[in-house]
Amino acid sequence: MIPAAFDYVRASSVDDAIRLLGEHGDDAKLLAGGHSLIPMMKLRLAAPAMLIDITGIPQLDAIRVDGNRVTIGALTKHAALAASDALKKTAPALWDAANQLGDPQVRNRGTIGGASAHGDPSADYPAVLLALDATFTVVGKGGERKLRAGDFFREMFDTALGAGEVLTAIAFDAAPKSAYVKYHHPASHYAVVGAAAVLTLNGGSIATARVAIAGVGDSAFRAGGVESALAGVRGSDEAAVAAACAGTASGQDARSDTFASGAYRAAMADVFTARAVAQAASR
Amino acid sequence: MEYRNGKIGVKGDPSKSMTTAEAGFMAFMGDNLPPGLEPGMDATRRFEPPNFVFPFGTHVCVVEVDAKTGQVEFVKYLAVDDCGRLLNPMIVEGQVHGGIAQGLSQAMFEEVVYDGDGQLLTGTLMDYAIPHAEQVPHYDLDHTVTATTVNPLGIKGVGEAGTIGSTPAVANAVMDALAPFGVVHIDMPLKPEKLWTAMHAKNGRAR
Amino acid sequence: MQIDLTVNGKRASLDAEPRLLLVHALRDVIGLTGTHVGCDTSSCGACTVLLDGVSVKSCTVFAVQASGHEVTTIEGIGTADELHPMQEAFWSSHGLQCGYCTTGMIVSAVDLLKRNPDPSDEQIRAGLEGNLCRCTGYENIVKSVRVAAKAMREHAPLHSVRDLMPIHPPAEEPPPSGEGIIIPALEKALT
Ligand SMILES: Cc1cc2nc3c(=O)[nH]c(=O)nc-3n(C[C@H](O)[C@H](O)[C@H](O)COP(=O)(O)OP(=O)(O)OC[C@H]3O[C@@H](n4cnc5c(N)ncnc54)[C@H](O)[C@@H]3O)c2cc1C
Ligand code: FES
Ligand code: FES
Repeated sequence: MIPAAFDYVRASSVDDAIRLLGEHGDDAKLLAGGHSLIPMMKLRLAAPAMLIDITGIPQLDAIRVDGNRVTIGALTKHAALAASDALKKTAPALWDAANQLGDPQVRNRGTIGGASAHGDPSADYPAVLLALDATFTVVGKGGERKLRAGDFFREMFDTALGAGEVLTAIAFDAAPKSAYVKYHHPASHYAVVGAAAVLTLNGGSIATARVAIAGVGDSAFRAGGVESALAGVRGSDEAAVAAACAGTASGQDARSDTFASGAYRAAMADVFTARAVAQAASR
Repeated sequence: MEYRNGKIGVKGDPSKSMTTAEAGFMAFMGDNLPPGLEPGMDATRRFEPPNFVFPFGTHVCVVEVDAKTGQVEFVKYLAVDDCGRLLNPMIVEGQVHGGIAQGLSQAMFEEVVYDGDGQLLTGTLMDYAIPHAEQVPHYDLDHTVTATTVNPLGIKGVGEAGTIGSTPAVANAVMDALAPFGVVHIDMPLKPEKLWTAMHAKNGRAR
Repeated sequence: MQIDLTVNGKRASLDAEPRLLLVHALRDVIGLTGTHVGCDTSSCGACTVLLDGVSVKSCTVFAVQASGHEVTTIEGIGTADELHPMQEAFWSSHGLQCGYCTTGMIVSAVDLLKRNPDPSDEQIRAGLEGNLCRCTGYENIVKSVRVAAKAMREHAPLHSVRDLMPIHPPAEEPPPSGEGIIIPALEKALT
């Protein structure tokens, strides 16, 4: 399938990208790995008149660990995250997600920045980044803004990114007791349900929990009720964890498609959340 | 005429010869043929066997069904087929492998879904599930050889053996797994949600 | 727009619209038709090539994005005179039937072995998650990759297509002689 015609330009720096976005207005789109944008352009669900390729911008593709703080450049590829021992140690949930995302070729092209900016409700990272309570660095004409994950992800294919803005980095505190468990769609590989859990433990008991779900709602969401119910539960107590994880998707209008109904998705959210919690606790 | 040194030639006259390719080309182009001779170089023979051949076999599948999700995992797959004499065992096995994948995919994954207006909802490989390497098991194969008498080679068909055996083997294995829940039939494809719903409808609770 | 690629070690310059997909540049402009197109949704992997040494789906990359970069297609993986061990293994282990998925499958498998020279069967299956095959049920594809991995680890000698498949009788073999095949029509034509 052939996309509609467009012009193509490479940005040499973040400032350059912002300038180009300003020049071309709403008709322009940033192009990172292209693995959400190009499939949409091929189906003509998107038809930008100008693509600004940002993949040549230096220094946006690094994973940095400073003490307890992990910072990931927006252009870091899924494959780099999946292969990173530093990430496996500091935030295994994100490492899990990178390893289970798409397939090797997709991981070789797609970026964490693109996957976040796209706001796909079935994407994996948004749930993990919500559970990590990550901070997004966004740069625009007016300078830099920092947004928390809860404010960044809004609705289906909608984030807090402004039209002229570039996402440059995502940062979070190390969360060694974390996990992401995914129910793969058999055809697309996207998440039918994805559950991310970030815990702190006190002995064997859960002190604090942050839980977020992908695939079920119009956007990834935090399961606040489950988070409080998990406090004090022993991570190894399967029945107690399962009981605390009941009703993960309450208040959500769970999506349905040809593979899974909303009711089934909601039920699976509970099951996969319990598994993510158990796995995070055992790490 | 005789065939010598890779060429077709006139017997006793070494100066008159041409390669098979040249002869074929000449016969095919037909512009330098003696009068009355039609172009082309074809021969057709027909053979009508006195009866059908009857390949047969047994396929055994072992699955595990996750009671909490309805997801199915293949534990083991065995197939013993009889297609008479195996002319090229490697190709025979390849046919069976491919057939098993196709048949198990019909049992588990593949479904054409239309909405109420007749709009196809599973029109791309993002929705229509064809299994990947990770979604199918390793297949253990063996053969018995019962040569047919209805053709001189003793051969029987094998192209469809895998597809015929695997669909019921997989579906029956899943139904066997669900027997403790009192489930006896679910329409294919056996998508996890259907299994989960059936298990929970009979049992009323998740285990 | 000017696009400068290095394809299988050779420079290829083209003037094309930015919307030209890499797979179409390779097949329709450069004429390398070993890379296939099997879907519209980036799902099948038939179009897999190496871009700067890593596997990518060339239907999901614009040619202009690859400008200034190196592309390796199946034609650059091995030659008829020196087959890549992966090509030989797919041949010897019957890793293909219709062959449509094969070129992408081989390129993906080559990339997989770069990262993991001694993969388990599970790792092979996971490494080929981006490639669909409708014919083989994957059994012999997994076997082919296993066989190639072993050959590569042991630095087994490379073979040519001719070594594996002597289509024409070798020159030293005496040609069939004697009465030979009589073709009456041809006899008439020659005399
Ligand atoms: C076959 C296939 C399977 C996939 N499976 C999964 C899966 O299982 N799970 C999953 O989560 N994803 C999956 N994806 C999507 C994949 O992760 C994409 O790589 C990702 O969603 C987009 O990242 P990208 O770098 O390719 O972005 P692009 O496609 O280049 O861009 C996506 C959008 O983000 C914008 N954008 C990109 N970078 C920035 C930036 N730095 N600042 C601001 N805006 C930006 C673009 O303008 C565009 O609107 C799959 C994709 C394919 C093709
Ligand atoms: S053609 Fe199917 S993935 Fe590229
Ligand atoms: S050999 Fe036919 S699709 Fe793989």
